[in-house]
Amino acid sequence: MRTALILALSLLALQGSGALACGYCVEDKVAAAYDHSLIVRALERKHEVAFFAIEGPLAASVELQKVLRGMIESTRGVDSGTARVSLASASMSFAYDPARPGLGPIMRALDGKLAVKGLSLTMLRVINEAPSSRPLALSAREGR
Amino acid sequence: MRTHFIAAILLSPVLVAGCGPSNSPDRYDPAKMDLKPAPAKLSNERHKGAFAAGSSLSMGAELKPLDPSPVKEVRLDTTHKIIEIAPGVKFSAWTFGDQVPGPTVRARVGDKIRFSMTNRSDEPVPGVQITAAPMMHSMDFHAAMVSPQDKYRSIAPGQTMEFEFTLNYPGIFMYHCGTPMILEHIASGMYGAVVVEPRDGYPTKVDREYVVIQSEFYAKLDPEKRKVGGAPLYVLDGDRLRASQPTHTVFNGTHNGMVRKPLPAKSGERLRVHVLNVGPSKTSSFHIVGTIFDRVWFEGNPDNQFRGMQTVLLGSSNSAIVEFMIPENGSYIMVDHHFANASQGAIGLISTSAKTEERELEHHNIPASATPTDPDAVQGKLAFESKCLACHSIGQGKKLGPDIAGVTRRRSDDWLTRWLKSPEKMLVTDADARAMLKEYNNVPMPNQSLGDAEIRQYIKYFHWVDSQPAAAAAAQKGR
Repeated sequence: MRTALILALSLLALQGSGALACGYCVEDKVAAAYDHSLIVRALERKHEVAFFAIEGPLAASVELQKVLRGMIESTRGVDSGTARVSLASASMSFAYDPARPGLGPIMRALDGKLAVKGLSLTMLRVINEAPSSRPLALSAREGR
Repeated sequence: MRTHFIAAILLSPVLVAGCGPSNSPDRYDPAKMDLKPAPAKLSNERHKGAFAAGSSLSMGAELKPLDPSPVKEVRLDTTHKIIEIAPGVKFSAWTFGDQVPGPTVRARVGDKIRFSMTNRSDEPVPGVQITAAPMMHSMDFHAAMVSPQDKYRSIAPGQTMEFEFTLNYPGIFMYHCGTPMILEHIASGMYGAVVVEPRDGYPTKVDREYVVIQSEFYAKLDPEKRKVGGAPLYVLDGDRLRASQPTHTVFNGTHNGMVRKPLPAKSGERLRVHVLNVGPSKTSSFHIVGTIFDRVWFEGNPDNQFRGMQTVLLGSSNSAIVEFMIPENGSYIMVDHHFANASQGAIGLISTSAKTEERELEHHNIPASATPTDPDAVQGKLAFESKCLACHSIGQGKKLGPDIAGVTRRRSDDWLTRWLKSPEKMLVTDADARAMLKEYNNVPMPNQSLGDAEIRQYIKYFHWVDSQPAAAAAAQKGR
């Protein structure tokens, strides 16, 4: 049931902003945890990148950022080295393989870990396809 | 009782104005404004070709005349590129329209802006392997009255945002990227101006119009020591940024840029300068040496008028139109009268002999882009240009002090070091120093309280000057 709900939320998120929260906040939070090269690499492997708002008390400290990143990275199904955490914008992202175990189990596991710190996650967006055609070739800039 | 009396006096003009009959219609009647813009469109279609397009755009300081079309198509794509914020300082910037500041949009009240922007921060730059990683960007027009949640959304590389809005108020309005961290996006170059004329135009006529945009850069040498075309790369210094300690404060994106390329004017002309202080963190006391602002329209709106002003104080994202006469031939110095800012590059000239000065530079074979590549020499050049040009020239002859061209041939490094460290001591102990004081009308060189590193930078710059082809001839003039 929970997995179905998450999937439904993901689909809503993919339809555009404003479905889950105010678009401005969603976009801001996504931008703060956005790593373009990570996304490109993930999509090349048919993996996806999920963005979340972190709800709860967050103190801006390097230690907490490390702890959160460690929690994400150690969660089964999260691609190694893909956790991104922005304490300033209270958001995070990671890449994962949608085939195994998929986003639902990852979220459940993460929610459990974060609850210890009084934190919880709100799904913002899942990127599972490139936003546009590949960047133009170098020649596109020449001759301007 | 006394407090009530003072309050009554202070309020009386307001009360009288409020009770009096009003015959003229309110120019700002919300009923006549367009406050229902259509929803924005977000797509995955990428713009190709020019990064900036639209007949209402001016790319430099000179403001083009108003395009009479009631609908202005404006395209400003975002890019990442290396720009030169000061001679030799190649900075990793983020842009609107592939330039810093972004192009100026000119329109009038009632016009509709039809805006589109593709995030092209992932596109490579010819010949440059180093730019900032692609990232999300957005557009925030201060000239618009729209929902930020709809129009100002951040978009990913490859996405395009389109929206429309109608201009309801006259003024000079900032535009900027509003994606977190906003401070970093603005400090990296993502800003520009929208000039909105009153519906019936300005109440005065002028001979020339310019746009001057003040902003700060917070640059540090790339920790990875990367180079661009042989010159060191500079990147955003986050620590300085958060502490509001800029390394460069500039007009129109370049340290002392309009000193090297003054804005032309003629004696007897009336000028209108549209001034915007972008910040992101410093105020501007905008002043022009040699004239008085006949009119100042704060925020660029003629309803906010002051007369006969010397300086206009602008906070971050504040603006003003200043109008003034050029009384006689000369170079009129635009400056941020917070002189700490001016010393970081917020200086420009409006000159009746702008073209002549450019020719003179060519005559001396000093190309406008000539600059040292050694970081110490670059710092020395920046320091020299901001602190020393009032009294010294390079290859242009004597001023209050000697011409610097050839100084490393006339003096040893040791002598220069001691002189720069403590000129007053040298006047006691050194015969050459005393002779120089006499030659220059007993005007002493002030002690600039320079540290050893700064002195080393100056001397490296002087050596670079003397290694240039033009310096040999100039050295003779400067003796």
